[in-house]
Amino acid sequence: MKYSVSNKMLLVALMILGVAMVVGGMTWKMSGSATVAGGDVSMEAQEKSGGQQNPSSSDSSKQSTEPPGDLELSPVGSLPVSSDTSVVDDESAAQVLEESKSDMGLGQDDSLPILSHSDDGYGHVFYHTQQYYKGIPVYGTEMVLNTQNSQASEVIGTWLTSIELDVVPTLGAEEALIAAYRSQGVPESRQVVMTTDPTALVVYPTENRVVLAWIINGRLSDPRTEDYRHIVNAHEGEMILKLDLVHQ
Amino acid sequence: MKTITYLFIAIAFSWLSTSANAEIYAFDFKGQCMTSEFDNFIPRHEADSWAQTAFPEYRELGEKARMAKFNVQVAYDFFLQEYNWRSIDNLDTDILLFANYAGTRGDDCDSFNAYFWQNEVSAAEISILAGYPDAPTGIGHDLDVVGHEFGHGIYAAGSGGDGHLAGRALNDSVADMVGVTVRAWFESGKSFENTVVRANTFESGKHFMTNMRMAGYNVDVDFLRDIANPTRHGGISHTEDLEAYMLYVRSQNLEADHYEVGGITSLAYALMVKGGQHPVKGGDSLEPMGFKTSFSILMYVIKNKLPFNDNEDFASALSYAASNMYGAQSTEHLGTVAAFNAVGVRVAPIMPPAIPTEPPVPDVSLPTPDLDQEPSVPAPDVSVPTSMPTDTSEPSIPQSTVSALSLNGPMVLMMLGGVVVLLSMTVILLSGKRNKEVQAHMKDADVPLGVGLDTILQDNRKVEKTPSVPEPTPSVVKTHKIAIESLRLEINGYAKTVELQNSCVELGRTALAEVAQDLSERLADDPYISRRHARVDYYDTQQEVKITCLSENGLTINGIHELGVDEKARISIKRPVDITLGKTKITVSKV
Repeated sequence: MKYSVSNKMLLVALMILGVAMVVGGMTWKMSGSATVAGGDVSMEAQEKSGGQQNPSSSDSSKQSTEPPGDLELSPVGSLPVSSDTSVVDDESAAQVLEESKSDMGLGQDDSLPILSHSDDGYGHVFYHTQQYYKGIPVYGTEMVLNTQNSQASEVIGTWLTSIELDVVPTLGAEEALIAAYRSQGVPESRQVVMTTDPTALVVYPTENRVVLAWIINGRLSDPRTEDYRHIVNAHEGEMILKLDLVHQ
Repeated sequence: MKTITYLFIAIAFSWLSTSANAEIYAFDFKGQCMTSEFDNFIPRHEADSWAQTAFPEYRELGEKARMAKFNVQVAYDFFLQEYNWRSIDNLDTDILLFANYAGTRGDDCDSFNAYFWQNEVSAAEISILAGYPDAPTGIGHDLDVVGHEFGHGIYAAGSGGDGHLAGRALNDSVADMVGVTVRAWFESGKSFENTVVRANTFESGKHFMTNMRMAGYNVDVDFLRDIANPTRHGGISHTEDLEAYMLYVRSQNLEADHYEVGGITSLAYALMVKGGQHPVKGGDSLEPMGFKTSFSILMYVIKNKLPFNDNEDFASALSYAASNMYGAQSTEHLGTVAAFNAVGVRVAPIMPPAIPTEPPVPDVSLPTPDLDQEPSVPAPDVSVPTSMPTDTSEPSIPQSTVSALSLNGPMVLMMLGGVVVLLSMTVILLSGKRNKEVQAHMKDADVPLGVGLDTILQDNRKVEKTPSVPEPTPSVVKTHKIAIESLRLEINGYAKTVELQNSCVELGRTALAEVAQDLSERLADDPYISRRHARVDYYDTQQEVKITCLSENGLTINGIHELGVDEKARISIKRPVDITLGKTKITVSKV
């Protein structure tokens, strides 16, 4: 009888643990999550374990421009599209994409506006789009709708499904940039200078979540640093990425 | 009257064409060290009009700035003439060229660099620095360097990623492709039809290096990069393969260099153009496709904004382009695939992406995976190109690909939780059912009530054995062991079918030699591979392999999963499996 009770108790305990894990996972996911449509693990995830600089060191101005919050996008995929709508212009292309959203795993909050189109000269017309979530562009999600003889055949690209994110920034762009530098140990004596344009709000996919982020150009004073493009968490003022403004 | 009308139309057209052309505004800063960054004083939205009157004192161009402008014009003309591509972005954007100065982007005044400014201003900005003051030629004399900076603008006009290492590497790689191509085109009389490969075609930055040598830098080669052999310019010798390079970076605790990573795809382009073998690995000799075909495939990807985020995406996009342009399985299509395969970049088909209705399944699992949940996407085949346009007549149901990215923290927690709950419920249900059966048997067998569960089960086993039903003879045939089996092994582009002994094959410097000497020779140069490094057991019925690491040096499966000595992993063989031993990747696939 003793064993019977302990086994049952163990199973009940396991069940409770399992339920707790499910609830915990859902709560975590609700805090800012998305699924990336695509394939395999990118190399970046491995690179991070291989010697990236510590973002918590005293002064970020000397740090790598490839901090740990690297962009995480899956390999490009293709989704076959079937539609009765003839694609003859941007408007009809947008309509086909709208019809395809559910197949792509996208919801009401996602939109795929046509940004441009191109004729490849070989019978294909590509309509270019990017994913927007609640009107905010999702960084790195570029797609093309491939059409042949006015018939849509496939969507090629990377997009994120099941995004759940508050898109009203807690911090203004400059506020977020200052907070990001201060949290990295940059002293008050050094000014954080925002070089106005371009400042954009984006949904940014990182290793295991999506965040609302500002893209801000700026630099530090005393000593003055180069200008960088920063990607900063718009809710928490955390530095996600610092990119060099020039390509050499 | 008609003639006058035509004349008027022609003049108007000519005027419109002229007015549509972008301007190149060049400034010669006479070797000065510029203490302010241009970005701070260029009006962002009126840069083009600002440039018309800006810096009057620096508008007179000396030789170095004049050559830089000349070469920007050559790059401009190349894209306009060959692709009807207007300026860097096909939108007639004006170009600001800041030449012959030293920049203060770092601590010192740096004279040895060239930049493309990634700014959202209404004109493109290119900087060509001064080089060594007494050098007879400047950095701007290098058409390939100027073309490289122009190429960054071309890249930005496409849909390639840039916010991460792989994207930045591809950015520089494409810029290198543009640089060498524009120079080859110019040196061949500005005719793509006649553009030929010369001995130094893929070497760039000769004047740049001359300047550095004159300035006293210790320069051991006379070119900045050789994209046909990235190891020649003194870089890390592993650049021929991304996985090997990343292994090296990790082992040395270095940061990955995007120029080094970019060298991989640049080399693939060089192989497309000139054919031949991989400069380090050897392997199959590829047929040359020439500059025009190769670059046109690249431009198809840029012009049509085919998205890519990493090397495999990029290879797939080029393969897709070649297939659309020249036909699936065409020489150009196969040549593109072969070139990327030669540098260790697998051309994956552009596959249906994951739809989040199905739970993601990890690639490697220690317990036997549920085969029913294996994604039924077509397996990438390194030998046969598969990245082709989708046939619209047969729209298939979207399939779920394996997405490790879906396995983020919350998902993993939820999945584990779900599994735990399901397991618990299953055990409870089974034990309940079992108890009922036991109780039924107990009635028949007159087992006393009140015994513990374990006792009941033990007794139940006794009860079950009670009937005089003959026991089934246990099968001694292991279903995964069949008489003759084989697997296909590919090492550095060389593939061979290997017959298995007792359903397994051992990999290692001596182990493989016993099975296939020619394959074993491909491992000879890798000092990190042990004599017996790994064992691969093949399970035919389950369509799986079990990989056992036999070496202290460890191994990596599919570039992700690392195994230490004596660790094992089982993985589906429905698609090829990459096993990296040392810096060598061995691709195992079904025959």
